[in-house]
Amino acid sequence: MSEYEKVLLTKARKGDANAFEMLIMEHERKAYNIAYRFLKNPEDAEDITQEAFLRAFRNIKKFKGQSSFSTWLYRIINNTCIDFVRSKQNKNVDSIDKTIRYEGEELELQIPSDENDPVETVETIEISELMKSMLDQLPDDQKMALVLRDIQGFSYQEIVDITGVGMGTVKSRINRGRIALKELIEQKGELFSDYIVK
Amino acid sequence: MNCNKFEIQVCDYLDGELKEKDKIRFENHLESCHLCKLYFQKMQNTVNMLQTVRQIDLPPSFHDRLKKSLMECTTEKKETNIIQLTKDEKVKRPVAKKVFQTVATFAACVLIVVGVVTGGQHFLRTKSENSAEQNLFAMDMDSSSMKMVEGLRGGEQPAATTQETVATTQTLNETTTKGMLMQMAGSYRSYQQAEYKINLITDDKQETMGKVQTIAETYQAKFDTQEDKKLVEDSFVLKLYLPVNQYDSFSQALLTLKKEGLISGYIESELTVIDYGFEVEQIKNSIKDYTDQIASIKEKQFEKHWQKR
Repeated sequence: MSEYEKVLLTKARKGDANAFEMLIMEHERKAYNIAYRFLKNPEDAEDITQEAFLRAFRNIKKFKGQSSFSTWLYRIINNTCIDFVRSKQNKNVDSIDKTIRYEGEELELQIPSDENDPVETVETIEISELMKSMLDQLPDDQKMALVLRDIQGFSYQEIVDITGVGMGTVKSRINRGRIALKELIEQKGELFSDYIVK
Repeated sequence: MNCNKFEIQVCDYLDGELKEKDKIRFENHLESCHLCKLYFQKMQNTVNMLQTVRQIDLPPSFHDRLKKSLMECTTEKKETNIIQLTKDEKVKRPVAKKVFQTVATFAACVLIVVGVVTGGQHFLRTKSENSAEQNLFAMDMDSSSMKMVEGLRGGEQPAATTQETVATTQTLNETTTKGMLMQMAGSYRSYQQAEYKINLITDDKQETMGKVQTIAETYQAKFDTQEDKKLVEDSFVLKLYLPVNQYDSFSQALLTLKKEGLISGYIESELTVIDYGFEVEQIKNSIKDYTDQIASIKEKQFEKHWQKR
């Protein structure tokens, strides 16, 4: 943690909302994307991200610096998402398929190169939506592991810290999640005709 | 390496988690086993597709909503403090925070250290030049009456005899007392006044100070130029008085300035708000009591006078 962050943290611990806001600024988008990929719609993702940040602000005195601040923050995001899903599971379950918007025959699915394409293609958006719908079919623990590892790019150790489970469990979740996702992709092979190895 | 072990290690390989020796074995098997190669490619495709999932932007209202929630959260804390203050009948006045430094990562770095809330003391020794609210307390209070008020502020009863009390109270101009009572009946908010210390570290002192001063003055702040002194190289302190109800707007304006890249650093908005309404109410009640006592004493003296005659 930089000196700058330390000072901000000190202020935030004393209830300084502006300092806290600056402290989380660089994590906001990533946090929102974790919630968005884990949950089913952007409205829930926004609510949960907001809720998680407020939780963090209220409990910032409990942050002892044993992990990095960002890891602590993402752990709250993770827990808030899981709490939300659990509470919602007791109420109703949305249909997974209704969120799929696909116009298969018109698409030419391609793996984007490493270079950043300034114009986001329709194909990329469609793949994102399809992948999201497939992720939603995975168990929550596997889904979160894949969101953190493959979409957000966290290391194994960071995922251990964020989710609070052991390294073996993290690896297992990632492995099982990827296998399950691979099978889902194969089932929807016609949607990924240019993607799938035959 | 057999096919089962290969499958187990696919994820570790894709994530770069395999040791060099295992990696070589893995790659050897990959080249020699057609089925495993196919399995590997499918897994690799799956990961690639996950990695193409786009990052979406925050909703446009996200920051405003978060800021509002955080401010409400802060307000809740302030209100809690006020309640505690009333119960304990004590006013906590933290010692001024030490000025600290930070490395400027941009052209300038602004550190705002919100100092002690001295509104209570301030209203007693106000120079009646900052705001209309302050003028409420700048009326003709001599040292005796101020001493009385000071005693009340400390939660203590004035250790004065009745005669002394009468003498003290009589020093309050009758008109002034009425005026004070009327004005005290107004909003308590107006009595919240805070003193802020702004610590600036910048490589362009004049420009940065000018910007902060401009913003502060927009929000009815007054600077105490005596406090503008250089601490170390590129670092100095500004002291200002700001109505508490302007603080949020003021700090927000500075934050906006930072976001625009005109200054950088952070803003500390630690603000211990003390509700002087409680004290004012206490003072008001006490003055009423003293007024009643004066009336009672005068009445008794009048009766004694007539009895003697």
